[in-house]
Amino acid sequence: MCEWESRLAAWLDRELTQDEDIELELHVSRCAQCRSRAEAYERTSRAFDAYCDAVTLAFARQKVSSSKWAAVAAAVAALAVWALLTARPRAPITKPAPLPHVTAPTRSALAREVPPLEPPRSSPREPSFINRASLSRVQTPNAATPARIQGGRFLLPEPAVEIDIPADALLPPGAAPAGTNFLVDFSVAPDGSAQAIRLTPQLTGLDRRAAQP
Amino acid sequence: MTEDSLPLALPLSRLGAKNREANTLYEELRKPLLRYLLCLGMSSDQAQDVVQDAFLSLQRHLASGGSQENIRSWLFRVAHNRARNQQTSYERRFGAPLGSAVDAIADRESPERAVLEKEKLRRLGEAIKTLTQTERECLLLRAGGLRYREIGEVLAIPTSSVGDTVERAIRKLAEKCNV
Repeated sequence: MCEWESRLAAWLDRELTQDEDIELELHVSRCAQCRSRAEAYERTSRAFDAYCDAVTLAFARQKVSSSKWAAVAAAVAALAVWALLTARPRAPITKPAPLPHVTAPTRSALAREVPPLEPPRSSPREPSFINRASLSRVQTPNAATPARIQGGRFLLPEPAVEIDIPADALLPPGAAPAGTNFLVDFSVAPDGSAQAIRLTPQLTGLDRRAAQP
Repeated sequence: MTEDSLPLALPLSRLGAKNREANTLYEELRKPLLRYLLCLGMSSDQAQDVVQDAFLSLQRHLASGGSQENIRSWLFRVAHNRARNQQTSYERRFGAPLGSAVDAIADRESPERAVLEKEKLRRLGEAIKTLTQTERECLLLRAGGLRYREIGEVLAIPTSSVGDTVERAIRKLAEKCNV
C-alpha cells in the first residue's frame, strides 16, 4: 500500500495545505495505483451523492402522496360535518302555522341565508299545534322536515322568528361559558301567540377567537 | 487545512434589518439541511420542522449576541442534535429499498445503462449499511458541502479524525461497490 493513499480523499476534497496538495498531485501523476484509487474514490463520491438524491426524492414523493390523502380526508370530513349540520331536525311542528306578519329576519337568520319570506297564502290554514309526542327523537310521519336546499341556498321549512339572547340574560353569571348565546326560534300562531318555542345554545365566542390574529 | 469555507458570518444588524441576507442564507442552506436530515432517516415533516427550528434558533442565537462565525456549521450542528434527539434510527432509511426513486434516476439513462445504475445504487445501499454511524454522518455532511473543519464542529470530533473517517468510509464503499 502506498504511503500516500491515506490522504487521497483529503486531496480530492482540497483539504490539504497548498504544499501538500502540490506534492500529492505530483505523486498521483506518477503512481498508477494511487491514480486508480483516486478515480474510484471520485466515482464513489458521485454515487453517494446520487444515492442521497434518490433518498431525498423518494421521501419527497411520499410527502406529496400523503398530502393528497390528507386533502381527500379533509374533504370527506367537511362533507360529513355538512351532512350532520343539514340533517339537524327542525322544530317538531306537525302542522305548520301561516305567517301572520312579515317579521324582519334576525342577524342569525341572515347568516343562514334565509331567502325573503313568502307572503301569506290566500287559503286559510288550520291552526298549528304542537304534537308533544313528536318532541322525542322518534318523529311522527308528519314531523317537520329539516332545512332543505333549493338552488344552492338553505331554506328554512317554516316561517319562524329567531332571536339571539345572551346567556347572561337567562342564567346567573358564570353559569354558561363565556361567549354563549341562546338562539330562540318560534312560530307565531294566527292569534299572535308564540308556538313551537325552541332554545338552542350557541358558542359564538369560538368565532371571535378564531378571528383574532 | 484550507479555510475556503463559505463566508457566512453575517453582521447581526444586517441580518435583522435586511431580510435579503436572511433569505439568502435560508435559500442556500435549506435544501442541504433537508437532504441531510432526510438521509439521517427523518420523515419529510420532521425534517422540515427541524430546519425551521434551526433557523429560528439561529435568529435567537444572533439576537442574543451569539457568535457569528461559522454559521453554516452552527446550523448543521443544531439540526443534527435535534435530529439525534428525535430520531430512533436511520437504519431504515439507508436500509430501505428506494424503489421508484432509484427508477427515476436510472430512467435518465439508456435501458442498459439504467440496469447498471440500479444495480450500482443497490450495491451502494448495501455498502452504506456496513458503515458506522460516524462514518455515515461524515459522508453525509461532506455531501452537503461542509468542509472537514465544519464536519468536526457538527459532530464534535477533531478535524484530523474527520479526515481519517472520510478516508476510511470512502475506501469501504469503493471496495464493496467497485463503482
